[in-house]
Amino acid sequence: MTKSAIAFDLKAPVRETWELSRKLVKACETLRQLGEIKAGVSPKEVVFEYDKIKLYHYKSEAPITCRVPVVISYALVNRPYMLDLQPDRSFIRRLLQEGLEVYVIDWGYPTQVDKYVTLDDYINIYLNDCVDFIRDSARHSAINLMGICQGGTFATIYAALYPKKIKNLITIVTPVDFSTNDALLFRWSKNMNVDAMVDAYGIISGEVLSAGYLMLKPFMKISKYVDILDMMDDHEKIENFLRMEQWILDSPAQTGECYRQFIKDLYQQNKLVRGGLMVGEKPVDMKKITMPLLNIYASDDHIVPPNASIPLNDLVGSSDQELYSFKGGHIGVFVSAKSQKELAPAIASWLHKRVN
Amino acid sequence: MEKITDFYKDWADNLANVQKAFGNFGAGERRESETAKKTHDLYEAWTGMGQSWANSMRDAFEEMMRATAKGAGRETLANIFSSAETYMKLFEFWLPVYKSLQEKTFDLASYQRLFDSAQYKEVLNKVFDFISPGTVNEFYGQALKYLETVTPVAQNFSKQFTDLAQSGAKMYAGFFSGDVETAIKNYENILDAYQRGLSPMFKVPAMGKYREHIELTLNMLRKYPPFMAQYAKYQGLMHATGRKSMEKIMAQFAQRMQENAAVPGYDEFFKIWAEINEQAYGDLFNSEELVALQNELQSAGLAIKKDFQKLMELALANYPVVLRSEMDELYKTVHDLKKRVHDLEKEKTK
Repeated sequence: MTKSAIAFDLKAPVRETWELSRKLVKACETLRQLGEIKAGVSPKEVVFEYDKIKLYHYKSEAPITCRVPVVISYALVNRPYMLDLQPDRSFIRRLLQEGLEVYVIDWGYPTQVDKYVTLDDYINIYLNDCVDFIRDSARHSAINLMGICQGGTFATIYAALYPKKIKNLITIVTPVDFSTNDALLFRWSKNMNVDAMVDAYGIISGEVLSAGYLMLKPFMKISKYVDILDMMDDHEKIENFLRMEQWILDSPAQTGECYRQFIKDLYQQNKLVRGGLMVGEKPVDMKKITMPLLNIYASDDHIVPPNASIPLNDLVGSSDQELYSFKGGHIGVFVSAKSQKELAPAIASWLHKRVN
Repeated sequence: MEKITDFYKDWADNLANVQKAFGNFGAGERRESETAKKTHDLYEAWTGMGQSWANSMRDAFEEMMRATAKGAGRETLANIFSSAETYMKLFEFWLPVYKSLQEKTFDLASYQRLFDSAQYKEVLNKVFDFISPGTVNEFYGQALKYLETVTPVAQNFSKQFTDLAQSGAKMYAGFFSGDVETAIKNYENILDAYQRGLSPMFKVPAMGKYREHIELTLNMLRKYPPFMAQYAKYQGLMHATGRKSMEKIMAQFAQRMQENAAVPGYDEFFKIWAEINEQAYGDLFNSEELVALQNELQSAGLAIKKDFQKLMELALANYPVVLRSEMDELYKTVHDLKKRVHDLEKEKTK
């Protein structure tokens, strides 16, 4: 190699790249030394099972002050333990501390055998069975239903089909108006050839779905992993980071037929707003949602933009309804300090007022 | 444990040596010099050093993957290594900028002359995990091997096509040039070459059941080049966006220099690079053009996948294995029966 004349100081840039190498060595040591990372920390037990669905009942140390239990319907696309990542970042723990009795539906990990499981199965069998189980156990004719993200869309549909079984409906970062193009997933899904996708794959694997999510912010992903190198001396921070990583990577598949209908009827034809959605043989009429509604959206949500959630209040027939804007992103709603401090108590307070 | 500790030490020493060597590069020859050639020498010097660094890192990565248990930690480590590699690769593009900023000679025109777009495509290919021309060759190679395996009439078939595949390699590479017209022309050439090469197969009499294998394989092969042409178009858009973003970043630096602002460090450049690219790609992903192309690409890719599945069914039909379509029927039956039993149980409970 020819040695050429250099009239500038190389030390600074070389120092920066050397720092990266040093941090990389440190990262290897740190990550190798860390043991198993546990997420989903609050004590719970399975109280009902059907197919791959499990209904968890959370044990509470605090006295239950809200007489009607709440069941949480989470999205199919990720695991619900994001609501209970670690003791100081547990949305569920905060709800328990506020005196709620909490159940969570775990939709499980679909495999090829589940490719024919439909939206009808999720709403009219799985969700309905869970609700019936809790109604029977708690001896209440109606219970509180909280839906999150895609699970919120399920909850909304369910509340429209079975209004008598739901005392209060809470939706969090829930898409109902799919006409928006404010988020890439909405834009991308509009013309997606979902038939070809389901016919080819059977079930839509978590890897395929995750690849789509990661493409939303590809450069942020790189920056994130370079930036984390600065935290390698702080084991607590790294463990927190890894818990979130574990959750991101833990992405169940979606059953083919449910995915097909969800994309076609909702993302592409916006039937919750335009009308005409059929779940099995039951037509979904949003005006039949007459129970009190608390609709929570995140102002900086890049996955479910506010415009997809806010219209819910105009679609339902509830006279008692509230729209709550949370300043933060799609995940921050559940794991941020603000969520623990403000959102969980606000939900509990809203429920207490309507139940007791 | 001791072995691992030694490994860290060796690796760290190795990295230190690589970077020390680079730090000493040109020492003692600090004359004023502004020629593009010398800047280019510097660029090449870093490329060499960067390569040594990357090699050292890859060895370390493999060692770490062996030593780290599966799980979030392992996946995170893999992502960290991949991102660090991008960080280091990008340094090549920063170095000449840093030099000219320090020397207050930076201008957009000279940067554009020095900018190695082929090298920069490598950075973007890594960010977006694009497939390489080798994948195309592999696809054709495997398809032809398949024909040779399942159809006696196609013995030595792949041998006949080795030359064709080799001469086609350049054309495949052309798919990735980002020049869409060239890619489509290459697609037509490849398709034509394969059709001419394959036509004698259909003149062989009494091919019987093998004809279906060959037709299905050909059908799949025919769909692949148009898919690749679309893919080239997609890559072309992605690369063009990357280039434009880089120009935007450089324009920012030119402005800074005019304002006599402090020369930014590499970390700062990296942050600016990530932010500007995120915005630019966000806009691209939101554009009608890319969304339409993405959907066409997806449909074309899935059509190939469906053909492949049909082909596998055909290939496995005579073996004692359950086929995908048979399992599908079973899954459907299981689903319907479960639902029926559930409804009956529910009815009974009422």
